[in-house]
Amino acid sequence: MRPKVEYAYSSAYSLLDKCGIIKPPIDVENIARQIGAVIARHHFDGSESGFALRDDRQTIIGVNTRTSRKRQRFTIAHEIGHLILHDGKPLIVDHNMRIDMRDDVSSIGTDDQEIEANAFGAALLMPNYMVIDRIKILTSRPMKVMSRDELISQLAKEFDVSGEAMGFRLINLGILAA
Amino acid sequence: MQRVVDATSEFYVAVGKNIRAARLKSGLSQTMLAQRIGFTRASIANLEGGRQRIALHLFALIALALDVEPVELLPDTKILQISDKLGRDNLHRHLAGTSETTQDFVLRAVAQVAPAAPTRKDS
Repeated sequence: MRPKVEYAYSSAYSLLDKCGIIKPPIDVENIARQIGAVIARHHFDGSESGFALRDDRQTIIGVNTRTSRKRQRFTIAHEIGHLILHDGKPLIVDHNMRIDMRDDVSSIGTDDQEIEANAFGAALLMPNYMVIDRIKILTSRPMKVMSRDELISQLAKEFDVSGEAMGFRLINLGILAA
Repeated sequence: MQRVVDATSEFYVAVGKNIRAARLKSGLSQTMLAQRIGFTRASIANLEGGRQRIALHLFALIALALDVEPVELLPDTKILQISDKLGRDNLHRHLAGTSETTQDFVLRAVAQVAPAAPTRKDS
């Protein structure tokens, strides 16, 4: 089975719609609250970046605060993706890097699930329609010629994401060439 | 999920039983008790059946109306500790098979938002 990337995108957009969020930067913590999730922050030296837990009593999104604030925003968006898209698994733990896959598995999302949650996270933080709107406005300013890097960094600032994430997103949306 | 929900419900059922017992002891009908505290008889019936989760000040008010100490109406809080334990056991089950660092991370993070029930020194 292939990852359902398109479904992940559209799920992210309908969630934004449901939460009444219409402009960047996206308040992911507000969205987490609206879906009934509590955010648990913990500074931790391991490779774990976050987790999504559906406990008996509550839904918890765990975030490792050792990572940058923008990275934490992405983690929260990614975990919201797991909660929305991947029913059934009570616990999914995400790692910055998958170092040791042998120590398995039950709690690690499948590759497809990770791809879907990443797509969801990117779409949630950088919805295509908002990105395109902003680009139209930015590039329509008279006297203003923007370089590729300027565009990326301006949008990254407006959407409160890393330049790297915005760069990938613009390439994915076909706005910039790879 | 069901078990813990049931444990909480069980707690309120026990509250309701205690209120009912205290009311009968004091010789009041549901209607009389209701009148004393400005409730309807139906909500007293719901309370006693454990179907309504009562606010703390109303709980105190009922104790006052029944002339008992509020603590006498409280059920054994072990009911809730059991519920807490079930939740925690489940978390450990979800964590089975993960690395020690993962368990450490998840348990510590969860503890930030769901502090463990105070441990009792029963001996």
